[in-house]
Amino acid sequence: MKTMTPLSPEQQRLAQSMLINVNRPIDDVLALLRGLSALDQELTARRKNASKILGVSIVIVFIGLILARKSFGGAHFAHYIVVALTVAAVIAAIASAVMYKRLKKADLTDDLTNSAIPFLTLLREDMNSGGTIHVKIDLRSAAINEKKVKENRPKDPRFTKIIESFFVNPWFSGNVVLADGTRLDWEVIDKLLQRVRTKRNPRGKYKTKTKEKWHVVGGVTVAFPTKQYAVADASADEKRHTIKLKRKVKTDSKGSSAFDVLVDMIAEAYGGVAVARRS
Amino acid sequence: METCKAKRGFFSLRDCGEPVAKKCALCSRPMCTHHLSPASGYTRCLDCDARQAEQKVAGGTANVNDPSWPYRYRSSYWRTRGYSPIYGGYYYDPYYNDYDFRSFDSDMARRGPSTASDSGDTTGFGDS
Ligand SMILES: [Zn+2]
Ligand SMILES: [Zn+2]
Repeated sequence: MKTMTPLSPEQQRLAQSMLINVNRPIDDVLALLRGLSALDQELTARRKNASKILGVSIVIVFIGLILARKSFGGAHFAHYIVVALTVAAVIAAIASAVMYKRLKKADLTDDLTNSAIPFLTLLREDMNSGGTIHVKIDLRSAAINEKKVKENRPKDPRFTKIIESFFVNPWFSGNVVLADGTRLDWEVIDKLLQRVRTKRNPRGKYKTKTKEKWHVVGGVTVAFPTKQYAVADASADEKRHTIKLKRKVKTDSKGSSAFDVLVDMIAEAYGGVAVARRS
Repeated sequence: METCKAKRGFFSLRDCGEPVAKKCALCSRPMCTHHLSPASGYTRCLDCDARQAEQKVAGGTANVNDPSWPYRYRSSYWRTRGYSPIYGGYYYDPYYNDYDFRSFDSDMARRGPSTASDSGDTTGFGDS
């Protein structure tokens, strides 16, 4: 797919595989991710355009089919124009539908822009200049077959069909040693319950509604160097006090939940230590 | 050599210490190139930029690619969430008086017996 966003060969490869696993200087990691985020925003805008064109061309096809039945008082010329326009609209509809499908498949998770990039941008402030960080991101959607762990088909007389799918998506993890010597490991696992309910309305038409419920589960392990930090209740060996935290956020739309939960947990871990000595 | 007076970090803070490029036009603290805001034409420091912007936009992750974003975010987070970052550096700077920093000295003051002293301790932070 040709894009306006200038991408390095690596970024192109990652946009295809949608799996990132790098251990690099933080500035390199951020440059890589910002490029992918810009690409995703461009593709999302194009997908919206494709769906608009699809909608408009379907309307034109319908109007064309109705008009094509009329005789236009024997004006063959007008008739030809209507038929030609209708055919063009059919082609436009097919082309935009194909484009939409391709773009949908290339769509990267919004968590990249809403959570991963802000989180790493903030961590960068706590890192030494040029320090390296290990980051793993799965940019694919949570609702793919590979991530489906369970499917139920509960019965409800009000609906023709209900499909409940559960997905587990461990999409974001990594580790880093911060400037103060503290070692941080983090992980975010999204759990998605997707409920697709199909109903027949009184006019006999089938209508499908999809509802999503998210559990964003974050976990951090923060290991503070005993040289600088004193901790009241944490498991400690000679070198480090280790604080482990886990938290779950329930939400219908994720926004920046992963970012918020990670920052809050790390802040809580830091809130529980005292400074024993200057770093 | 004079060094940048910005304090870097979100969870824990340290002195930037990079060579100075210019003084901030608002707070007149000496700053390195990284701590001057491109949006202000490198005239203001990122902290001042963040304080000005904070009046208009609340926290959140908008404009995350702007160099002053982490400074805007930390300023609003520290204040609204009552987070006290740990400070591992050496310089007391009244510029940061709005925030409650935890340093070696202030922690000792907090834990030690009868040490709520007002003995002109210049490195203790924010227990006022
Ligand atoms: Zn300033
Ligand atoms: Zn600096």
